[in-house]
Amino acid sequence: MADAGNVHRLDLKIPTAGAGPMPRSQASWDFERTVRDLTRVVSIPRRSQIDLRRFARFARWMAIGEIHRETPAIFLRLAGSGFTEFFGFDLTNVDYLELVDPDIRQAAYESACALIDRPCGLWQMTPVATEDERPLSLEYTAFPLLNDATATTDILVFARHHFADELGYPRASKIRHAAHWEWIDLGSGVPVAPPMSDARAERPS
Amino acid sequence: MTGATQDPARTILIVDDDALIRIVAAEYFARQGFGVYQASNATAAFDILARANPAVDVVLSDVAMPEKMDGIHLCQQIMQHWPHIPVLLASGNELPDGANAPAAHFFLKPYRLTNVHRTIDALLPPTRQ
Repeated sequence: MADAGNVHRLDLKIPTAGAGPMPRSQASWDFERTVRDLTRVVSIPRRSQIDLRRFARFARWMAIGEIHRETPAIFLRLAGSGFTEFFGFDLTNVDYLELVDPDIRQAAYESACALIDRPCGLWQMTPVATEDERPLSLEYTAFPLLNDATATTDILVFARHHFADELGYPRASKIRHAAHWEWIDLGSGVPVAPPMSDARAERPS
Repeated sequence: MTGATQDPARTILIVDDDALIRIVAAEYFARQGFGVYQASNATAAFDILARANPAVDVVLSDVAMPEKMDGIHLCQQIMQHWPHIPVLLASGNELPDGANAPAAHFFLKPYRLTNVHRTIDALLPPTRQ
């Protein structure tokens, strides 16, 4: 395993902003298709529509984020086992923004709000620093999800860690600026500003 | 049943009408080596308890469920028919005063699966066969 880690450290090609399109994984496309199947009648998928057979394959890397606008915070209310292994602790009830680089915390929060307010989906490839300073990429695919019980809208996230299986889940320490992104239109259009990046700079002063 | 092995040392029955919670919890416990059964309501849970092979070792159940029998009633029934099976109850609200729920433990939702796992380890040591 140690040898494999060294090999991958040399082979890693971490995407950077402006480096060209980063292909989405098939798993991300599959997740989008599965969620879109829930939105044929309604614009926002409902939590009560989630069915075991179609979503079980994504369980390991699924999470639910609950936005608290007054704090502000994005509390993770459910997190698959992949997140626990990747971050080294159970993320349930943790504020996602605490995991994000402080420089982009506000932009990350605003992106999450935009995703719910539009509503629309979001795909992004995000560099993550590990405890041993290895730069890795985490692919996020996120959609708004209506919680029938509370009548509030949460965020359903599917993540994919491209190198986890090979590297044995190095511990993540900080989520950084998204390198590649794409809003996903659910029928209500998408925001003009890019997520987790220059959103504030593009606003009229 | 889903599980990491065909002959798991421990089996858990997860009862919740929220499929998302069941899916994520089932994946977690299967990865930890549990055999996992799932039920979306108390009636289905009862059916699994009666027929499960391997037998259920521990039950994790939501309190609020759509049918007549809620988690508290299910817990009482399990204690009556399978008193050796510990029941862990979970709810978004505290149990009402006077609720007669003979649960081994109560978790306020949203709970951490790692905490549930630790509680089960205390109730059913991993080495138990």
